[in-house]
Amino acid sequence: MRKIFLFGLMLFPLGIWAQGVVFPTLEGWKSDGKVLVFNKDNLYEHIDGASEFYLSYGFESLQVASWKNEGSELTVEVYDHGDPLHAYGIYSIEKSAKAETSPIGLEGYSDATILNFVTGKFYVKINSTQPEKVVGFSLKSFAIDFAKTLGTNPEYPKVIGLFPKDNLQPNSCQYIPTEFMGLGFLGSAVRAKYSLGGAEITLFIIERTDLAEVEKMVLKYISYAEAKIKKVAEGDFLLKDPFNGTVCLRWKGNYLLGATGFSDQKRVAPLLDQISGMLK
Amino acid sequence: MNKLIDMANSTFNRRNFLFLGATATLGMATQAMPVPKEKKKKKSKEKKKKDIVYRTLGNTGIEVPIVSMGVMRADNPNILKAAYEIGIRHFDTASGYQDGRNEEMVGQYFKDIPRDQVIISTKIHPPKEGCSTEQFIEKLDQSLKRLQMGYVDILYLHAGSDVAYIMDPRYTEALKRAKASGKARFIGVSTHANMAKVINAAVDSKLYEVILTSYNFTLKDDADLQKALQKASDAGLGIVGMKSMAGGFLDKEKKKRVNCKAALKWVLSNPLIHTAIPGLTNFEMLKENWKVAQNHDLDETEKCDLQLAMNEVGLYCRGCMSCSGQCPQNLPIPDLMRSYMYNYGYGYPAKAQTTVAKLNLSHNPCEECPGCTVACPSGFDVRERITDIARIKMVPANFLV
Repeated sequence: MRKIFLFGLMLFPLGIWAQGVVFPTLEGWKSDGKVLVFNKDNLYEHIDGASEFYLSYGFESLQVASWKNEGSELTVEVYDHGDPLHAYGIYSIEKSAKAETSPIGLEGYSDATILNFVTGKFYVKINSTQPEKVVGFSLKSFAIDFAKTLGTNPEYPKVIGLFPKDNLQPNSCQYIPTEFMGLGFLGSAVRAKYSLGGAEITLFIIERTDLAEVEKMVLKYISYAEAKIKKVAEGDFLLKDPFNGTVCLRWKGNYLLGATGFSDQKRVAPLLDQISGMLK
Repeated sequence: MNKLIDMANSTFNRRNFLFLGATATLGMATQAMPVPKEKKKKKSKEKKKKDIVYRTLGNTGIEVPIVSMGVMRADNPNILKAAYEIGIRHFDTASGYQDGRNEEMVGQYFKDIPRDQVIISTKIHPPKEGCSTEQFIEKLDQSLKRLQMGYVDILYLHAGSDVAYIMDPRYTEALKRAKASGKARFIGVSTHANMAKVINAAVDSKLYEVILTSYNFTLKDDADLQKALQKASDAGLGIVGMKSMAGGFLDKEKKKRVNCKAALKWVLSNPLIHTAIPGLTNFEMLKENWKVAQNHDLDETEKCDLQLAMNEVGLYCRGCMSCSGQCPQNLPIPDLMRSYMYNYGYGYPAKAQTTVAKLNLSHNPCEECPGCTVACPSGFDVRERITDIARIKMVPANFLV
């Protein structure tokens, strides 16, 4: 007969503390006692075919532990992406637009057998088979408790908070680590989609460490778009990108803001105003 | 107490050693091979009227430009749009890429393009614990839903690295059903490791119609792979190349870039490779790669770049045998160098282990010598390599492929 447990009482560290990860003992579940560890060089052995994508998001290591409980199995994969932005990035890019998120760690979502969440520098993917067979087991409760062992009070990367909330499409805020919009010189960016007047507008924020870097980026974009702009200074630019359509850029300090997908520049200006108003 | 198993520092790690070969010239093993159907077509409505090289994917009859697109890392549908508009017709994704989001992006863009104008392939990777035929089909149905398509042109069993996996009756049955039901026009297998063995088994199965295989200049001297490709070609399988850039860098620190255009040309200069799917993530890359579809002849600079790349890290033993008999401990140096190449060059640790095991050596056969007197014309540090590869015998065989 299967037992009912309260999960808050069921997490017992096994004494394995590697790179900030403690896998719990789950009463009633059996573990083979092994934690598989993968790094950049052999991640493909665990997720062959998809590893390159993870590497592009600053992947550093993966730890995998699994348990069995009669016909049920539970596997927990903890991906360390080095910093919260990259962890949020890979989480955000794998998340479905239809996902219903909740505060598991920083944020997570689930269906009957899968639960993914992000917290701090960790992206955690939990897979289970027939978890409903284990009386009293709740994937979500387990995940919430496990997330606490990975860190407390996680926060969204600051740049995420810069996006206006009105008309923001759910789950559309994503971090792209390189070659944003297919343009190598833009590098990394955070983007979000908005529904405005029947159109889907994408806003983006590119943050750099100094002014010169942003200026260089603007100059390259102007050159790429073959725009006839002689003097470049902080302010707005309207460029006709041969691949991405008309792009509205706003350079402010160490930030380059932008919008694509609009038909009327007047619609995006207030959005950019809101963002730039929050910048120092 | 749980045990931490460091999978990277284990000797059975394969790909971390996939660096570049040293000694051979650019003369390719493929040059003597028969040339399959290849023709140049004028692109319809092509303003510049430049010729594009097309090849046929074996008996599938699918005719595609030699340059296709791996969509995996593209985050932007505008790149798909640009690729389609430039003339690329074959797009490769997988159910596992971005947890299905990549398929969604492909579906979102191509929903407005006539279905018969593009060749879409996807891949399904059963979970590690395996899955039933029905579960495999469910995964395919999910993929089709995300792709917004009634069928895919090629459905691959993803990442086959051993024969048991690609011949697992649960998956072969699922692939057969997918084809019978019209959800997949053709079925194939993708492989990044143990490629020769997987390809040979795929041909022998008479089930698979397309092979998607790692293939790049680092594998130039892999005679087993060349033979397997020839066998697949003779049997009428379509052959698609991937990993053509060999990781894109020549060093672990990622400071020395591979000349990607040259690397792609090298792949496509083998007529057995019908098309390649470089991962295109930016527009510059797209434009550069597309030029290769018009002309895959290596120019002198590109040859030089590849030669330098091959010299960068000497993994490839050319088998000159000049080291034979040099070792004061009478170690079989050529065999050990070959084993090193199997493991680190080709990613076949199982084969390396078998070779080393036959030599009946200790796990550190060089420990008695204060220094090494063996001189290799390719400049290999023989002692270091022996010390490294001899340890492979300590790895449990079931960890190796």
